[in-house]
Amino acid sequence: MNEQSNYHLLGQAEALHRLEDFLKSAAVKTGQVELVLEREQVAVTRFAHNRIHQNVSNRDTRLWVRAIIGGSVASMACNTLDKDTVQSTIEQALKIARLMPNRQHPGFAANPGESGQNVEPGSEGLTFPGQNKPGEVGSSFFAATAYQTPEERANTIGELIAPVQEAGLEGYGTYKNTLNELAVVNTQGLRSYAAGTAGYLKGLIETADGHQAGFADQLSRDVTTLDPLALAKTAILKCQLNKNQIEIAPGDYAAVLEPNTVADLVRFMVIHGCGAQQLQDGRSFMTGRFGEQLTGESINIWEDPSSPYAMPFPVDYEGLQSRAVPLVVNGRATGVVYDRITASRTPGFISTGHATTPWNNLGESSPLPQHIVMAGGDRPLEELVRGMKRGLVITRLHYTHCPDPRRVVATGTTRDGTFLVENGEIVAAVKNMRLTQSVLELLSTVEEFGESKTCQDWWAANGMGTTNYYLPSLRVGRCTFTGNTTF
Amino acid sequence: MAEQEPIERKLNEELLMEALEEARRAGADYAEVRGLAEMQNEVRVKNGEINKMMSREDNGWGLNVRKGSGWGFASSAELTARSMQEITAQALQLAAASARVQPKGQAASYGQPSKVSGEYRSPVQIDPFKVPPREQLEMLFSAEANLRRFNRVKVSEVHLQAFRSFKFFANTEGARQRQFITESGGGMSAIAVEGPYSYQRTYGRGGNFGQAGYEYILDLQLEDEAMRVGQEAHDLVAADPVPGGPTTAVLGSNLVGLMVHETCGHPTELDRVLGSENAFAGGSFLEPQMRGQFRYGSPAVNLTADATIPGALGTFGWDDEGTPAKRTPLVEDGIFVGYLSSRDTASAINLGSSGGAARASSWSRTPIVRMTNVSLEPGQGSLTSLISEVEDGLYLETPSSWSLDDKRMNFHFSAEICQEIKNGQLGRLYKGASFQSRTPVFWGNVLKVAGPEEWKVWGFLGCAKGEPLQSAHVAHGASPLLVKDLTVQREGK
Repeated sequence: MNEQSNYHLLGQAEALHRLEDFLKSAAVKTGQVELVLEREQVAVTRFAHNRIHQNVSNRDTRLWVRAIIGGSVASMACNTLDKDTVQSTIEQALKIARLMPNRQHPGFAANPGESGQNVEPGSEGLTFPGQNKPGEVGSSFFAATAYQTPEERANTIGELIAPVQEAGLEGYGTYKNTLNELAVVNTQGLRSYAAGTAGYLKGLIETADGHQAGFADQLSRDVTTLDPLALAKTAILKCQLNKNQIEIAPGDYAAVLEPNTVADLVRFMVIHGCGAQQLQDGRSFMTGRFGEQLTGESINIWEDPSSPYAMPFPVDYEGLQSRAVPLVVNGRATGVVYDRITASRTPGFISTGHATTPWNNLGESSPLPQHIVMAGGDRPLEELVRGMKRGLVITRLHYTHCPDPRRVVATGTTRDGTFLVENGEIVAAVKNMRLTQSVLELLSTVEEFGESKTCQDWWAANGMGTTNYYLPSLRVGRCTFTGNTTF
Repeated sequence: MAEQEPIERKLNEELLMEALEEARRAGADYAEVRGLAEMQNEVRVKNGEINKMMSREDNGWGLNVRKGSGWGFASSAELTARSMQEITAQALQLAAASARVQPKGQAASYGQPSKVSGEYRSPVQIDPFKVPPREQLEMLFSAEANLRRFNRVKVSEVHLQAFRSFKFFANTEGARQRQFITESGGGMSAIAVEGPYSYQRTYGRGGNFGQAGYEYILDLQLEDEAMRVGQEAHDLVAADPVPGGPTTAVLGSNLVGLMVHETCGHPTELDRVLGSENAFAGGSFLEPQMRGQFRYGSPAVNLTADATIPGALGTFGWDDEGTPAKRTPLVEDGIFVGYLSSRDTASAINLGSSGGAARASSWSRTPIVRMTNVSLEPGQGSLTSLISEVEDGLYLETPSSWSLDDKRMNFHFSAEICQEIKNGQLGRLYKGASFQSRTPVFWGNVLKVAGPEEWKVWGFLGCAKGEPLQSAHVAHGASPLLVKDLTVQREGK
């Protein structure tokens, strides 16, 4: 695919023009109508046993129609963009909205700038490092990613696999490439558009008998920054080190957590606690606790949709500019993100620009942070390990869950490289362990911050979430393991 | 039978067949085309207000081709002469790119051919897409108000969903299949708050769903169920935490259904065993040489994959490779005997023929090995009779969280509700019960499974697997069971 043949990319002018045409032909007389257009092209090349076994691509268009009459909202969606289908979808949405006004929705915004920041009572004066001196704004779109070809993906995988084969090992993994466009137009005058790209490359390297494994991954909006050889080197070394695993007893251990592990743990703070809906439902760890010390004082976590390191994207699904929001400042509960509905429930509050996709089959859509930054350090992982008298190194976690959202208790098993450290040296590989602990408690024992990495948690990296992170590795004083497994 | 919507008009079958021909002309050794037209309605009432009224249509098609040793799958929401040519060319381009990274001499295998043609329709008595929205809302508002009758309930939500699909499948081996499926269901959730604690109780976690019309939703009796769910949420938030330690336990059928899903369904997926999911969902502890020998559970444990159960979410005429629906034993009398498989995975370990478990969750996804209806076969007796056998133990029902290692060996489940059992009788409520074990240890400790009168099919909407992600509709039949030596932990909610 090249630039000329990628007709799936509409561009700002064409996307907004089409939506305006639809609105015009619908001639809405009563109520408000908002059109949300999402176009997506996803290409995924998967490999196993050093060969590509799946190579897929799909192009999709989704048009959401939201209609408000008397505060009642109805949503209709279609993925066919002919005028008749869209017009009938708009009419249907208005018809359903008329059914039962409930005065819940505050109405659509008139321009993308109608978002901003809120200060929760108790959080006055709490700002994240650098909040008052905004830095570089990252770009969400890179042409090299948008116009990548299947041959280029296959070549990258070939480069990754070559040293794996040389080492007599087996490679498994995925190269995923995404191009998406989001356009929002409504009867109040709002016109909003953004395009994004993403490249994600991961490699799981195993011995032929499957008894040893190592893992590495890379995520970027710009595929030219991905380095398959470096990725292969890291995963191969880890796989080779991960041999003759010993079983150790569950219990409390000091630990060095790599950024992927930190992402899996912080995820539960994000999805269960950092959105206004969870706060208003009384389910957030921050409910009734703004300003309180919840983690160690060194912990600063914020949402930064502009950060070039956290997969930036400028607008949300209501067409509003996404704003930076402090979440945890110096360990204190500080803020959550809002969309228009949740903001309207608190007098004086406005959306922070975090409305999420309406394309949610399994529940309600609620505002969520998607560009999490955690203040880190500059020490490489090896130095964090050297500073640990006895403890574990955790590469990443698998299939984590949260049995207690209010205390942010996470549970999940380690995988692809768990190591025992004594006197600053790795002395053995360890069979996988089950970590079960309150993330707030764990973040109260951070001793040292390492270098940061752009990544996603296990769920988002595998298509079950949308949160991106720029997080450091951590050395923590107490990590609680409640069980172990057989490999 | 209710008249169905003319959903088949959304797909141009001639153009789909044209894509097959185009692929053949362009040199594909094998090609299969799948068009899918879908409709979905969702209504959600929360805290006395309409939270969501959503309808959507999703139509598209995909082409899977093999050329030499490479596979390629391309798909699009557009089905025009132009997109048909573009997507066909793209599928072949992807196949050619795949062939670049193959071991020397690698021959692609696709197992036994599928040549069957026919039509399948799921039963519908009341068309859910023709029930007036006002009628649905009245029922939801009434049920939701019942949840809020209990004063500790602070967040209450009830929802309905209906799905309809028309699928057209054809391949270059001669298969032509048309399938019409309607699914309906609903559920509810109550979150009770007391001081610093909050606690959620649901109906069947995500609710329950089946291949049926609106009659299924009426049978759920959501207004009555809301009285029970609201009361239990109200009581649970103020209940004492569960005492930890090893115990004898009776597990309710909804919790057992999810345990079957996670600890039997996933590890018997043959693509996991063969490595295709290693880098995402993980592998499996059930290796091919263990088949027919490995003791997975006690003799009371019998597990099957059955895509022919009437009205269940994992039922169909043919899977997405065109293989007819089958019933496959997975565990017999506690011994691991079978896998969920597709054409290529079955062929890879010489199973003879596909287990008919290749499914794609959307027109934009390629088929992979999925669960159909994976069930624990019933034993004998009632729930009451299982409870009556326990002198001192616990009753646990409805999963609230779950987590498993990447080979499905070590697991951790939490239950929404827990009750003590004393001298064969249910007693006080406890909150925050979770347990951790290893799959063969847990199933090996199963003493009894209740009988057919307690066997219930649970439809799950969100089984996630594959890249790009595929969220499949699957089902699990399960009766309550009695298990010894279950170590229950206190989650401390």
